[in-house]
Amino acid sequence: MPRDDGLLPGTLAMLILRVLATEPLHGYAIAQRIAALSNNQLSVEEGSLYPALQKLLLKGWAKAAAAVSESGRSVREYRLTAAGRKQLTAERERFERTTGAIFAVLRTA
Amino acid sequence: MSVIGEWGRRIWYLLNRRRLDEQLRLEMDAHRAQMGSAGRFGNTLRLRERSRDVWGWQWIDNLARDIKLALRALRRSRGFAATSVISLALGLALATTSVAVVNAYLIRAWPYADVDRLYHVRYAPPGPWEPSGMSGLDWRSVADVVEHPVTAVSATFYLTDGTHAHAAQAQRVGTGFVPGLGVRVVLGRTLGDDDFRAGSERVVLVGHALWLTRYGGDSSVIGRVVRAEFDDGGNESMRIVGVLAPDFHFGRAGQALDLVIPLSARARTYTVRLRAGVPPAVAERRLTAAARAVSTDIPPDWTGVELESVHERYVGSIRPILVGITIATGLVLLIVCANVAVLALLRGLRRTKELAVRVALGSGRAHIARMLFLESGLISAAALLIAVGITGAALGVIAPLVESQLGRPAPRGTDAIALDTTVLLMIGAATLVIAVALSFVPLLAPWHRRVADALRRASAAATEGRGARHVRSALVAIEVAGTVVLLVVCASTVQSTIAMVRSELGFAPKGLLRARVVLRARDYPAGDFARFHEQFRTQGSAVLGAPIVYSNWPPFAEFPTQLVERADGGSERTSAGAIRVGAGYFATLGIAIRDGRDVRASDGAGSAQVAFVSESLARRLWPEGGAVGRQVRTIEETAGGEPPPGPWRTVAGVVADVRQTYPDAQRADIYVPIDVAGSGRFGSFYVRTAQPIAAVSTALRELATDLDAGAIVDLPRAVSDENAELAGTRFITGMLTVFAGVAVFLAMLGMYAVTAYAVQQRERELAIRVALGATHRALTRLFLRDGGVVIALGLVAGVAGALFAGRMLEARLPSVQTPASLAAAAAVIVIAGTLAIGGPVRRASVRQPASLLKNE
Repeated sequence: MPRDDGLLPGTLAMLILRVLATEPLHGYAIAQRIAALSNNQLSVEEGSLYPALQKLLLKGWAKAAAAVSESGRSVREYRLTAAGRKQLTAERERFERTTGAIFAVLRTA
Repeated sequence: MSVIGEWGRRIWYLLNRRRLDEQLRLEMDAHRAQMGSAGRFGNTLRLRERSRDVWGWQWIDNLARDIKLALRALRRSRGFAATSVISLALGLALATTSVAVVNAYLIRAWPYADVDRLYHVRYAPPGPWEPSGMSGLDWRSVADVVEHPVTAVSATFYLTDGTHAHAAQAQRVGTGFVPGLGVRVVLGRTLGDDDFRAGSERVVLVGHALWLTRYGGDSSVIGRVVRAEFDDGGNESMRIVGVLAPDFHFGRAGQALDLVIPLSARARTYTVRLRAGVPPAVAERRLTAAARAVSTDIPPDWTGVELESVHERYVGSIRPILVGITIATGLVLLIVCANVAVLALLRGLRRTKELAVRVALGSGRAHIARMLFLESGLISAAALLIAVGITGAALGVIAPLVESQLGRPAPRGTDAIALDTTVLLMIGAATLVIAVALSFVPLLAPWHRRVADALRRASAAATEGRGARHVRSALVAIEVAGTVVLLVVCASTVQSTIAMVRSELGFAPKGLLRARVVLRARDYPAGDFARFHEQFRTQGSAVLGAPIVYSNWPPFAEFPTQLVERADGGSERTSAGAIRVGAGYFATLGIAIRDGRDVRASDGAGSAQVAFVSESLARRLWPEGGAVGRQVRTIEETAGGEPPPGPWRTVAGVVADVRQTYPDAQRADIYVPIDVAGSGRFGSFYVRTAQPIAAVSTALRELATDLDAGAIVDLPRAVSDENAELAGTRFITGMLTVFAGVAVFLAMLGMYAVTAYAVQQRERELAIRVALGATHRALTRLFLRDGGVVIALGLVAGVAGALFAGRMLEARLPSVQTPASLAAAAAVIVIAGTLAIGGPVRRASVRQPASLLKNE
């Protein structure tokens, strides 16, 4: 059963891109960072995280490199590419436009 | 750009997917460990699968799995798989071969550019008359319809600057030849406008074959000067400027083109390239007008210039044969498919239980359909591979046979009868259609109905539904019908081959060799070629240890006719084949002497002129008998004017009739001994010997060079190999016999399988019958009644098809006796059917009834 993760549909990729924009992270750290930044309002489920990361790799927005986690396990660290940065800007603009419009409707109606 | 990048990454993923999947697994394990409560992490396997799906390669894994399943299923029924693969491979190999031949003749491009715009020009309807002055036709006046007049005059040259003299086939060509045909060279250049200017250096293009044989494929040949001699003694030095492409040919079918030389004089043009988009009818009108303008002797009923497509002119006459063979192979392929379909249907019925289990376990229809398609796809793919392999290997042997049968080489040469992209695509497409069709067949079995019912049944095989039974019967009937057609056609060709082999030729080709000898006219200014012939005969006979005899005519070509007149019979004349022969001709060729004697060496030299006549001629001239000692003379047959008759000759011998061709109607022949005045440059020497051809060739060439360095001795050939008519009929007969044999075998297989299935269905009933005393014969009758209907239906359809085919064949094969062929075909089918049906029944009837009943 899917848990309520508090995420708006379609925003996961943007959130991942955003946290990766600061520094390269591995899967678990990405989930943690999103949870922390949202004051635990948003939780990224592994079932969505890994397919989303694969999509980032496929689209060329991120690159993966072998790394070792804090607990000494071998993981992959995801790093944003130039294309990923451009994508983040574009998605962010689109999202802000959309939410702005939604707010506008909500306020007046 | 991003799409390309994305595909690049996809492929990179595909190539590294094992490593990447392992990394993902480790990554997820780490994630899980760090989460603290590992149980909250989802199903790792499922998660990895979803992650992998992002890359879009899941179908490969599915396919691999399904192929594995299909292979396992086929392994379980090896007999079915092997039979299907082998019979399909056989059918496809035949189809591939005929498609390759059809492709080479009808589809594949010619060695000329845009052959669809090349037309043969006929100035008058076929016949001796052609309007005069056509070489003066002004092509510039029709330049708006004719892009290039392709003018060529053939000539023979002698190349003497080598180990032995070589007669080179040359074409003297006009300026339009190179651009008109799109002539290409592999070395050097083609002919340019400068080469045609008066006073320019004489240049020549060399044919590819000549370049290989005479110049060893040496690329330094460009710029070399060749000396070529004309027949009239003149000679010419020409600089080689190019080597023609290997597939280029022009002129008579099958004749090599050695030299292409610029033509300075005007000549008649028989080929034109029309401008793009010009309809031939328009060009015909314009050319008719142009011809009228230059000719002085055009009769009032002249119908005008006609154009015939070069391609059509070449293949028009052989198209029916090609189409016929294609239909025959199509028929075999159809029979093969029907047979595999029958087997697949029966296998489907036997698998009802397995499929029911699969459905019960949750296999969707789509998945089952995919599995069935993969099974038939694997069978078809294996068959295709084998077929292409077999054909690729066999075409090297078959192609020259096909060419000699069709009487003309493929437009692009023997090598063009090959597996090119077109052939492979066509056969691949046919195989795909077959695979798809076959994958639907098992679905006719009622596997999707009554799952529980199928599972409950004790027997593995389901009873077939009505639809399936009808389909099965129809398939077997199709097999039988196709087989009947092939059998009848095959029987007809066998009959005509037998008739040909049995027909008395009048001479014995077996063991006889023939070498063509050509002399140069300038070496014998007095025309005394007989001087060489006589020396060659006597010395050659001594060298080979067997008599060599001369004739001015090749075998298996009808003799040219002359009028024959008897001295004691007024002016009545009769037409007879007339050739010149040397001493010992009849003995060496194995022609029986009925009366009188053989030709002697002194016959030509002596003053007493003699002649020899065939029985038919003797009977016609002197019905009362006693031809020897009478006097005859010959007069050449010409259209206009009468040439002076030959001298009176005394008949010295009467010999058996000779058939030069199978339908040869002219058996009245007269043989005149060669003499000093009456022998030409061209001649054939025959020798009956068991020595290898190479040895005979060497001996004769050495001898010829000793006698006359300019004499050309062709490689001797076995006379029996020159019998192209018989070889062709034999080839077709052999092919059709293979077709028919395959068809009979497959039809038997189909009937056998169907009966075996029916026997299995009625095991219990049969066991009871046997227990109650039913004989094997009675049981067979039981099944023959069912099978008989199907066989009868197939026979009727087949006979109708055969009658139709017979009508088409009549023109090709003179001695088709359809009733006998029909009877033979029907007999074969009935016997084959009885055997095929009797087999399984016998097996059932010899089993112990008790053991059968116990199985229940």
